Amino acid sequence: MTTRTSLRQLSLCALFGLTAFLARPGMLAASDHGDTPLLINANRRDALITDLHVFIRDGRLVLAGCFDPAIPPSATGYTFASDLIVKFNINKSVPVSFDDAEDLATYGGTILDPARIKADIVFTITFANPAAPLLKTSGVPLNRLGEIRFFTGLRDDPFIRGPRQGRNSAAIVIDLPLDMVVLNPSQATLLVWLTSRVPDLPGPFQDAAARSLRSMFPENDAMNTLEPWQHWTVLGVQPDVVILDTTRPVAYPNGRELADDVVDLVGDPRVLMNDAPFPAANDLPFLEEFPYLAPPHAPPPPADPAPGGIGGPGAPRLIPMDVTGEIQQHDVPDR
Amino acid sequence: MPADSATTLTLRLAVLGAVLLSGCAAPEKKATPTEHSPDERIAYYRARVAESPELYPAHALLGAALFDKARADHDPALFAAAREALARSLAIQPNYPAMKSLAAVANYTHRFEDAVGLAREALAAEPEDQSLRAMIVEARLALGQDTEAQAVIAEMPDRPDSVYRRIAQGQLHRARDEYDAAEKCFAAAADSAARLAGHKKLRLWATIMAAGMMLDSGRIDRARPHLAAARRLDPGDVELRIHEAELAAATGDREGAYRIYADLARVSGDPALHASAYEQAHALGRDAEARAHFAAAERGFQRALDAGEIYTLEALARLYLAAGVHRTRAADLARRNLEFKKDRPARALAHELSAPAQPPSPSLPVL
Repeated sequence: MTTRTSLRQLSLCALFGLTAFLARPGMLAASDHGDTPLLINANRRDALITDLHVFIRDGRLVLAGCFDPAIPPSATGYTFASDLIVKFNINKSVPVSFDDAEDLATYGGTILDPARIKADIVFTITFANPAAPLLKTSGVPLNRLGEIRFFTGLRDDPFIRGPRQGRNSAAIVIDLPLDMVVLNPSQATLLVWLTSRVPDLPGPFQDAAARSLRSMFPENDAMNTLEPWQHWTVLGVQPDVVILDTTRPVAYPNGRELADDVVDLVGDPRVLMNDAPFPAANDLPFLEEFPYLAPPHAPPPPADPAPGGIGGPGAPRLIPMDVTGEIQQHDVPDR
Repeated sequence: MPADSATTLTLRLAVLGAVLLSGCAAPEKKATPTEHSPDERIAYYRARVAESPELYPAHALLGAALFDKARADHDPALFAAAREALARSLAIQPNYPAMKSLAAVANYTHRFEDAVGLAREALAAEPEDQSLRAMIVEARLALGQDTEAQAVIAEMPDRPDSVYRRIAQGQLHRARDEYDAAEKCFAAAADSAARLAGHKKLRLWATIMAAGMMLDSGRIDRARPHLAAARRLDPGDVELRIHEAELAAATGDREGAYRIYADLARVSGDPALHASAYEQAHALGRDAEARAHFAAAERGFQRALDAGEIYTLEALARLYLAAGVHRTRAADLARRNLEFKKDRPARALAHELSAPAQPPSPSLPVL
């Protein structure tokens, strides 16, 4: 047994070069954070949206998006990819009814004219200069941009879920006075959704997030690349958006507070079955003040010294840890 | 338009074209840049990082493409380029794709200790990636750490779709010369892969490995059905052809074996295939061909060593041993190999080469 063995041994290592990035959701044990095959197969987990929280704190609307389910625990900061485009979208003009009990319990209400959903307000975040992320706004009063707060960086993963305990997330948090969004009582109900886009990849965006534990399932994967109004016109289903009636307390499915244990509230067995140790609260306390998400977990002590001559982990970071960037106004393009 | 921009535009249009075509039928089968050839991907991602030097996912994807090309072309300089791109990616932002690729490069180039560390870091980022555990098992086995390998297998869930657990188990059985058990595991891995969409290559590889276990244990007839199954999946697969050559040699058809090895070596330039071709040519008494293949194998293995790589130490030592030449050097190579690879074949080789040489056989070709 000579060369044959060598050839056979090398071949498995070689195969991993091919199969390393062919992971399908079925191959992983019910990973519930960002199972969009397009992004996974393109090796752009950094663009996967893992969470969207929409809540109100002291008269301010808070939008907190989390990304990248595979941040190594050794990371002490987070640099968003310089080509990533993130959008928080808000519609405040399509009427919502709260009469249907099933819709109310499942989605937070019934959207009465789903084909008309379009973004009235958009917050677009780009990272062309990773050290200074740019927030562009549209649909909010120009003269009040200074009242918007904006944060990007590494935070504790706020998802109350067993496998996510001890893990960090790449967070983008925006908050602004609610009266910059709700200008009159007819706009009290907001529809909110979040998208991420990698320009190299096909489609207007590759991941979308709204109501918890919906678009992440394989049967709903198409939602991740369609606008909410297309969920209705193309897929024939209720659009995947967060419905927030700002006149009522925030509690899932009316928005989503940080402390909402959506795993239990939604009760999908596919998620419950591997939620051990079945937490009911986040592993770290949330902050009372902006950016509300808990600071990141410290990296574990290294088990072995960093491999020599390879570089990588332990190599000096080039970009500061948490950054707040510039805020600009821009026009929302027509649909 | 500069060549790089033209390549970029062509690739983007090709991706878009593939998407528009595939999107009409099956949205989940859209083409991505990662599905193009290594050369196309290298050109594309080189252009991307030139445009955006801080775009760490592109550095990671460039590194993965360079790794693919290094394996295809057997060019050791490309492994260094791959490591550089991956290290650059990690320096900007620690990320799972770059860590995993770097672990795969380390494993492939026989830096098994590094591979274990890197794979463990990547696993911390994606604990459900069982392919990383299988990679660690392979590295542990190469380090002669059977017990540690077994412990990693115990971490892997045992479900009907647990392809990588079965592969890892097969590798462990193989390391222990438990060929029947290994065959069962690889065959089971192939069955599991068959049930999952998009894992044809994995299924093919596992099927071929099952055949290999039977070839290694001299049970030729039990290898044949596996090879036939592999042929139905992809008759031109290189690994399959190599095993068909082994089958030919095992049944006394050295001519057939030589033809396959020589053809594959001529196309790929793989020094390992030249070494196999040399062995057959030497056995057939085809001295001129034997010399040519020996020279090509030696050149290829040495080229890697000259580039600072160590994954050809054992292969070159074996080549010299098979040819009955450069015994002192072969012993040095085998000893050095033991610093990195400590499994039974590596130890047995070093032991054999440390023993006094037998008198040269008159039938050995003059090299």
